[in-house]
Order: sequence, then structure tokens, then C-alpha cells
Amino acid sequence: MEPRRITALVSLCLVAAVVGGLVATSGDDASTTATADAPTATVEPAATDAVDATSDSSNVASTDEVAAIPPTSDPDTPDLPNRGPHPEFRPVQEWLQTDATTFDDFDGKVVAVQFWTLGCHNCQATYPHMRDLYEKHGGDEFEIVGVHAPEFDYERDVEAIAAAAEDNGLTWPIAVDNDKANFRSWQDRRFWPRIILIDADGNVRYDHIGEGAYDQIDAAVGALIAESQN
Amino acid sequence: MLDPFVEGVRSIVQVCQLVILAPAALAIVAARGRWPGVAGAIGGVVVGGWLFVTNRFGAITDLELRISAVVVLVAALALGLGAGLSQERPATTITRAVTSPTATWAIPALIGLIVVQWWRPCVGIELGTILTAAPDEPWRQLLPTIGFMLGISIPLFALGLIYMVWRPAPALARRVALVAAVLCAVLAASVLAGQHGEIVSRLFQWSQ
Repeated sequence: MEPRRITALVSLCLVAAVVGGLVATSGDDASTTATADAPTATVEPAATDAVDATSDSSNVASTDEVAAIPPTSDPDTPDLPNRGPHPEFRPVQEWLQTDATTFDDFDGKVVAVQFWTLGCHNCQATYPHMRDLYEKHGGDEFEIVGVHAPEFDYERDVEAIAAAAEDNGLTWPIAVDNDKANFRSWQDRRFWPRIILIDADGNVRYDHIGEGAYDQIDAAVGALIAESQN
Repeated sequence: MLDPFVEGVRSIVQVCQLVILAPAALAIVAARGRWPGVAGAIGGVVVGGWLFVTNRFGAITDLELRISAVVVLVAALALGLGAGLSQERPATTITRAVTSPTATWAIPALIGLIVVQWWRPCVGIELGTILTAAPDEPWRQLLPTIGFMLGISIPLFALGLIYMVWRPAPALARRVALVAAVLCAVLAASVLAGQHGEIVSRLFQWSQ
């Protein structure tokens, strides 16, 4: 065999070994969570939806930033600029695990709106952190609203959504957004998972795409709750 | 750059990355596995990735998706035509163009750049950080984005190595290239017909 071919073969084996090792250990590394599971958090391109994504002028990502919140003593607290009122929360198919019937029922509270779907592996990776967040701050001043927007048809089953919430200890209100009306209107580029923090006055203050930033989110929620009490 | 690269590598086994890897790999095979084609495809994926995360063109509209699908379809057919005519003396401008050395890397690059705009990424920690920050800090996220997209592109690089090991006879390489070009065109046609989401959905359910 020619030297070039041998070199290519060795290189191929090395690449395969590195990739295999990284994929096999992907569940062990605390800093990365991608695994061999099925499609997880995704972007939904506007082309696959009937609704025009650009027509909603109240979209979160397009609002102008106003004044920033003064820094707190928690070093993890991110900047929390006031991005203006949150987009209109459109009617959903059903509300689970709550007596609320509209998003307005949460007025006056700091709200963490999380866009998720039950088949999304990256969303599943956020569950422990969201549970911790709810346990630490949940109450009269803070609420999590899980907006479930399905990526695939099988994720539209309300019983499956309720079962996933129960199995994973997701005890907060869940909005079944099967038409993805809010998923589209709240995001110009649509991702799962995504967390948007709304302050007690109804303004968007923080936005994070994907997993991670859990310490930041926790600190941000704490800062917004403290702000609402002043 | 290393952490995003690692996350990119780990994400290649997820079905959501197929929308990039499948057409890019087919484009490389349609270019007969030559290194300019490999480099072009990877380069297109990297540049396309940066355009995607920085939201340079905004969310892709339905019309843009269909137009881009037509471009990929034509590009794939051009690669196939180039492979089929590679043993002949080019007689027209079009045949000279598709059999030129430039076409070997430029067409896979174009395909790589476009298919990233169809991407439905699996948003882990590193990519989430990139996506959150990139629209406001595009240049600061350039290296992390390059790292992540290079991680995803590892299978494309491996494909080039496979061709180096395999060293198919020219006639076989041309036949394989033609098949790959047709498959790439079919894939683009499925996007044009709005069936891409359905295909990904079925792949996901099959993988489970």
C-alpha cells in the first residue's frame, strides 16, 4: 500500500477514534450535553410555518433596550436591560397544572417563560435546573410558564405532554401551544429550549437560547424578584 | 474555540445535523471526493454557519427556502454533469464551467453555505451561547462559530480520507458521483416540495 494511502487510513482511524470517544463521553462532561439521542432543541425556520414570522412587531428580539438594571452583589447576575413589554401571549389549546387561563393571570410576578418540547433532548437537560429554580424561587413572586410547542406531530398529544411533565417533576404551569402561535410570535428565530425572563411589570429583561447559563438565570431571577420588592 | 468544536463533534450523531451533513457529503461525493471539493464543502458550511448564527439575513422565509432549494438542485445537477462529462472535451461554456477545477470546490461550497440556512440545530450549551450573543457581537463569536462548524464538519473531512484510502477507478468514481448528484438533487427537491420537515420527523422517529 502506498504511503499516502497508509497515512490516510491512519488519519481516518484517528478521526474515528476521537469522534467515537467524544460521542461516547458526551454524557459525562458537565459543560456539554449533546448525545446520540434523536433531534432535540431545534430552530424552526419561518418557511415551515403558515404564520409570517416577520409580521409581529412586538417580537422579543426586535425590541429596543432601554435602561439597564444596576448591578447587584451577585457576580453571576447578568445585565438585565429593559427590552420593553413582552409580546402578546396568544390563546393556547390548553393550560396544564394550573388554574390560570391566560398569561395575564401571572401579572405582578417575575415569570420565566421557557419554550420547550417533550422530545427535545436539550430541553430535557434543562429539567433539573428548572426544577431547582422553581424550588428556590417559586411562590407568590415568581412563576415558570413552560410553553410547549411541538416540533413533530407526536408531540402534540396533550396526555403525553402531561405525562412528560409528571414523570420529570415539571410542576409549573404549562401552556400547550400546539399551533405554535406564541412560539413564533415571541421569537424571530425560533429555538428550543429558550428562556425569557419577564419582570413584575411585564417587561422582557433576559433572553437565553439553548442550555446552560443556569447560574446566570438563577441570579437574574433573584435580582428581578428583589427589584419587584423595592 | 475548543469547547464549541467538541460540542460540534458530539452533535454529529443527532438527526438534526443531517440537513447539513447529507447534502454536503453528497456534494463531496458528486465532486468525486477530491480535496478541493471537501475543502469547498467544509468552507461553505463554516461560512454558512457564521451567517446563520449572526442572523445576517433574518429568519429564512418560505420563498427564500424554495429559491435556495432550486439553487441546490441545479448545483447538484451541475456536479453530476461535470462528473459525467469529465472524460470528454468540453465544447460549450456550460460544459467547460461544470468540468473546470473551480467548479470542483465552488459548487460544494455553495451547497454547504445554503444548506446551513435550512439548519434546525440542536442547541446545547456552547451553541446556545453563540446564538444568544452572535447577533449583537458577531465578530466576537466568529472563532467559537468556526470551532463548532468545524466540529460538525468532521464527517466531511473523513469522507475525503475515505476517498484517499479507497482510490476508486475513474469510471467507478464517475458513476458514484452521478448517483450522489442525483440523490442531492432529490433531497433539494424534497425541500422545494416542503417535505423536509416530514423527512426529519420520520428519521427522528425511526432513530428512536
